[in-house]
Amino acid sequence: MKSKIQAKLFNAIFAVAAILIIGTFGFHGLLKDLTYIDALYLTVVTVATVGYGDLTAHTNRFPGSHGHLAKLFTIFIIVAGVATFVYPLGIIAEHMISGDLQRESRRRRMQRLIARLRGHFIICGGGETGVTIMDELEKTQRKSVLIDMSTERINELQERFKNLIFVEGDATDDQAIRAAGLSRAAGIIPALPDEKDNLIIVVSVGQVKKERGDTLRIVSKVINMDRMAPKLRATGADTIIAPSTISGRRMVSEMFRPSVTTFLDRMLKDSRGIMRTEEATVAPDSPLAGVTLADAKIPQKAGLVIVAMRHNGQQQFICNPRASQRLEAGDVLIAMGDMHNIAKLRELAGGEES
Amino acid sequence: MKIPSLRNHTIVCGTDPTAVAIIEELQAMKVKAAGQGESADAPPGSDYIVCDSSGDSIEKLAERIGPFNYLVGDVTDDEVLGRAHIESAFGIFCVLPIEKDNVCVALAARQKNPSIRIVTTTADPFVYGQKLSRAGANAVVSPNFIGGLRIVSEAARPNVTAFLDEMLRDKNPDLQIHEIEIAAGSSLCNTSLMASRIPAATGLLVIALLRKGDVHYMYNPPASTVIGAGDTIVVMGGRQQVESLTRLAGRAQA
Repeated sequence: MKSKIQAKLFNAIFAVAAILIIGTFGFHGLLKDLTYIDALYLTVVTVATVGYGDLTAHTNRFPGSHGHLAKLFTIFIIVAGVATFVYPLGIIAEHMISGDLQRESRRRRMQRLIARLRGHFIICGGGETGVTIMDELEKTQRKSVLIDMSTERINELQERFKNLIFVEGDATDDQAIRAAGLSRAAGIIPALPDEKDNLIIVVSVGQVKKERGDTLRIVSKVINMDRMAPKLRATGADTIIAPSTISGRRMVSEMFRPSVTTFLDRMLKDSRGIMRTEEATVAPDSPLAGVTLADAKIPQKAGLVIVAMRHNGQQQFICNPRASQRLEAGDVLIAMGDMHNIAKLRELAGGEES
Repeated sequence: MKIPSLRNHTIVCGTDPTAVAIIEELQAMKVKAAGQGESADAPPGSDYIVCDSSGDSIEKLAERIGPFNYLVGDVTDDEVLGRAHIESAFGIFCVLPIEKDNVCVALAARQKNPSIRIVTTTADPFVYGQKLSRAGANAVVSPNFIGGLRIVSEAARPNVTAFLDEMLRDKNPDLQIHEIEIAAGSSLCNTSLMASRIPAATGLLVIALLRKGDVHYMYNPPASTVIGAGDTIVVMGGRQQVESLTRLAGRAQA
């Protein structure tokens, strides 16, 4: 789109330049006592339809000649030149009205914002699931970039998410995903309504991930579990989530065991603040690395109790870790509580959460 | 198909993927109940009937998971609900593709059976969540919402997901969340968390506290917090540890 506007404008400006050159040389040759500057001036005054009348094809004709040729040439310059002169203005006006320029400047602003992001999550598709995802990421103080094709939908979402960072484009297109900062992202979430589109995204991102061998998380939404799940897994999705299956199970437990999930559920719905069970990974240069839990003083510094942790990359969780438990870089700490406190814990752990 | 006279059963309205997940769970429950022998009373709600306006989708489903009770008809029609024995049902799942239909069915179900448990889905919890509750739904589940939340957890906090999974699915008996109400006569009453020595005496971790009459939990309560009668403490730990705390607390709470 950008190149199309530029090509049009370039052509138009080229045409204007051509008319000015033809006019300047023409008037210079056909009229008496005209310098090149005078000829250029006459051309511009003519094509701009100003026509001061201080220089004309009539007053400056060569003595003895009828000046027909000069008049005909002026007619040509007027007819060809006026249209040419107005054309680029028309292009600019047209694109201003159609929003292309605005979109273009918006795109550049977004690209600048995206260039500064690291460890963000790319969400493909701003449907209802996508919105929930962005909402949760925002609440838990994580950055996200939305890819959506529809300008209308993006405008709608911009009202809901004040700091929405987005790429307007087709998420199945590699270029759009790259524009969303794939190389620095922590994860990508294909959540498009068409299952095949999600598969295409997983295929192309899975390839990139394999080549780079990094920790990018690919979590795809799936509707038809039986048909799509094996394909998605084979192509590189880390996890596949079928909202319908999860909600079906949830509905059954709401029916028969309504009290079981209450605590964690109520936690999510707490109206005083954002309460979550969250994790933080201890960075090598964190003050927590190499000290015991007692010395780390996490309850005093972050107002949280570490309910469980993963030590030395072991699969097994250490639940309710003892005060004598030593913390090492790479350990994952799990805590429950207010996001403000969780943020403090993450900061303490080294800021980087995986 | 002849509709058997059902009692204490559940009714599933709809056959979309969410309904299929429900039916599969119900079928698994039924099989498990049948395995426990003839003598044991079937748990309430393990018998179920599926209602959908499309006979085709029911047939397709039956091919996949085996035969089940069904009824072809529009459940927003009270007569169809009657044929599904709504009056004697334990619960109803409203999983219809049209939001208004779910409101309609919830309303009709509540009218015909005041004690029935109604669980519905909604695609738009902001618009329909309240409406469904007012219509009589006991629980409203939004696939978009819980699906989205789950996706974020998997993408951004995979360790938490694994942890909660272990806890909620009873994989690890040493790792469960329990809510325990403190009885008035308990030795824990009017002591601070520190003085109660719950971690030292039982090995449990106190993760939250709910004051009597309060709706919000207090997370990570400081050691100086004084426990009162009627407060509920939320602890994490093993079953045996919890049992010893329940004894201290005075009486058990689920």
